[in-house]
Amino acid sequence: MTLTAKNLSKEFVSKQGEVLALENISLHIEDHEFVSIVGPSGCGKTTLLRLIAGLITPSSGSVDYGAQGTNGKPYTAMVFQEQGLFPWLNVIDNVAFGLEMQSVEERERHQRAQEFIERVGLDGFAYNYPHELSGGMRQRVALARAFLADPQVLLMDEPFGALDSQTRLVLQEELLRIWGQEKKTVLFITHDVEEAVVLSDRVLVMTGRPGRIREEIVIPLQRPRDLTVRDRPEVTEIKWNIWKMLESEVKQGLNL
Amino acid sequence: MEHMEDAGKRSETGVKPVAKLKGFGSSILGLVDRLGPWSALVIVVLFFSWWEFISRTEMVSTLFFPTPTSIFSTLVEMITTGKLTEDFLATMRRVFSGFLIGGSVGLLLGLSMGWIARLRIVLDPIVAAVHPIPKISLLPIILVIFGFGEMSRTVMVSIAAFFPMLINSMAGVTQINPTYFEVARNYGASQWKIFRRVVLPASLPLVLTGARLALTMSLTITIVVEIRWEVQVWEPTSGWPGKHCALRSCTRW
Repeated sequence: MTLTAKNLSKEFVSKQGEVLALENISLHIEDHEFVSIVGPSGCGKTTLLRLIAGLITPSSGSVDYGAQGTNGKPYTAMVFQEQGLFPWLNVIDNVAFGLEMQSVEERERHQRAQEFIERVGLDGFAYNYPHELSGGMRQRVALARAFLADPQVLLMDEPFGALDSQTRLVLQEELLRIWGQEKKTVLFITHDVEEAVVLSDRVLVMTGRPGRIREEIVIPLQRPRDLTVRDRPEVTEIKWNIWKMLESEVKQGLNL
Repeated sequence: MEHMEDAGKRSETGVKPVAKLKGFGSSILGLVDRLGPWSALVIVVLFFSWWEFISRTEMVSTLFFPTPTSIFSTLVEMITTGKLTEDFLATMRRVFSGFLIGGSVGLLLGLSMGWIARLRIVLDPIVAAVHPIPKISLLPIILVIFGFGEMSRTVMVSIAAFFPMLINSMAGVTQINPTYFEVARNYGASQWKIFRRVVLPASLPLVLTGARLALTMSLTITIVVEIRWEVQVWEPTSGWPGKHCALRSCTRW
């Protein structure tokens, strides 16, 4: 499924007055394309994702999911950085939550959830609660939940941002593997430039507030990929290019 | 006293006292070390023995301080005649009817106020203004409206149970991490499903706290309104009601 956003702007009203968080953002994501957005912190990446998810309404502009009937399936499913799982539900009910909202009957949704739990390597943890799992395991549950809901577009808001660097590598590889099996249209937000380059078909670089899309970089790497691509010279070059675009913005944000 | 000397000897050979005390002090410590938590029982027994002693020897008036043995025999009598059970059930009926009425209204309104911001904006100042009023000070007006009877009691207990339940269930909903609502909405949850799968479970800990506080308040106010009736009834009559009869008679009203 494709995703098209046209001239999206978002203003927030605060006590100091109106703050323009996003200005005139247009983007288009092809069916089964993996697109990442990188940008300095506070540039409105998360706001953009929430606009696309329909959790907030834009001040102007529109979002088009390019599909007609959805058979009760959600347009988008979002993977949050943390706190996205319900602590009062065990793993299998968390994973099956999307199906439950689609009114899938309990036995069937548990069966399908169990399948996905095994695919993210959590067999044996179906009846544990989130607080009994490590951060990496929790994010695997969140991934399983999002994939199982079978949305048209998968939205990921720095899903590995709170993990340690080793766990993050493992989860990136896992995401590549699952995405290879279940081709989905993905919009992935991260502050980790290397993560964006390694995972994506395209990387969009955003400016600081008000957030605008500054550059679009096509990643010329073959699929299927694994994490070894990070050592390729062209990846290093792209990383440095992106960093050069971000550097001044980041420094501005730090008042340097 | 034999007791303590004996303990003192033991402490020299067995457990050593923490502080180096001589004579009486070390005997006490030795006793505590030997008896552990049972020492408390010794204190209780000593206390009642002393009470029995000063009542029997008329050092204090038995009108105000009847001997523990006579209190106990009255207790046995009240149990065997079924009087105590009857009074106890009457009190519990009041506690729980008020708790259920006031608590359920408080729960429903609290959850709604927590969930619907507009409702909270309108009603929260009123709740904040009314809540600090000592509930018992409402008794005169409640008596005027509902009369001297069971109705007034139930209303008083309901009011007492209402506020802790309302405030805690409202807080139970407002403290829910907004991410949970976003996740549910993102997966297409209807309002009813959000209520059942997010609002209810996430607010449960504070709702239970509210129920505990409401039950305590219900019991307190029940006892208070039972005693108040007693004063209302007995004041005009002459003379003292007999021993023990105060609490018994009031629960019949």
